[in-house]
Amino acid sequence: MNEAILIIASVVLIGALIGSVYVSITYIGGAMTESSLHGSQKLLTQIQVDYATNITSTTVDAFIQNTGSVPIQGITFSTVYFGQENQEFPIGYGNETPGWNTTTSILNPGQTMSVNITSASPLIVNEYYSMIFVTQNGISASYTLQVA
Amino acid sequence: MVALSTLASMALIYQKSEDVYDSALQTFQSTQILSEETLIRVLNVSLSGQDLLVGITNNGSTNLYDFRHFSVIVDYTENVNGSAIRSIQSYNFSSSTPSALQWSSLSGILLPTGLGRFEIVLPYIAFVGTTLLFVITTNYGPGTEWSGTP
Repeated sequence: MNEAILIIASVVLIGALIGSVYVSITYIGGAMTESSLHGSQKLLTQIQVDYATNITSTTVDAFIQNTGSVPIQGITFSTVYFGQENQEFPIGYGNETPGWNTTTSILNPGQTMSVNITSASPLIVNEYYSMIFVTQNGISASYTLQVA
Repeated sequence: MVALSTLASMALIYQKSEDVYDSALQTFQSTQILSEETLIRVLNVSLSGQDLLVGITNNGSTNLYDFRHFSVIVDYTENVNGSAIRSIQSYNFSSSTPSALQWSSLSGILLPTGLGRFEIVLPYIAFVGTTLLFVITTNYGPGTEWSGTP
């Protein structure tokens, strides 16, 4: 009788041990795979600002090219910094002022998109302004222009 | 037995993760090398009506042929029925005869030390005496910028 109880207890304990090991491996494995995929995506994401210029006293047009190997999803979730050189600050997406806007949602490799920036105050002629575009996964590109 | 299986599973998962990262790293490194070895320069520019003809030299050591993934941007003052209107546009590559807001390579693949000729078709003729600026960037990133009165 006692032997039977011991055998049942052993089987239950071994089952519990195997179960917990399986859960741990699945959890750690998932985290490792996620981490390596995230790192890979960052390595394969590259952008550059090809050109930017002011088109009015308060707006700037910029052209951003995907020079990486993977599509850049969720463009509208990117962060844009704009302001006089070395005084850039983040501006929101949408029709707010200051703000930035684009009609592109996914930027495929090789593709170029246009970004429109609206400043809250008139840009100072002959002064240098910078824009920094940061993708959702932290890859950035910058451009400095002299206001005409 | 359980410990051995755990170790084997962990090693397998680690190896799989490493393979994914290594593959991305190799692509990144080869792209970086291609980018560093790419260099183009504008040789000459002429404007005939709406056709902007650009002579390009390949001063790098990469073969340039992936024109679909080039970026061509033109900033100029267009003459729309006598009115001067500023136009800043990105132009799309065309493998056949280009129309307005398109460009094509008249010389095909651009080999190292070779000369290329690009035809960029503007939407309107340029306003006389105004400055035109264009930017051409390759699929690897490096490019060239030109501004003047063609």
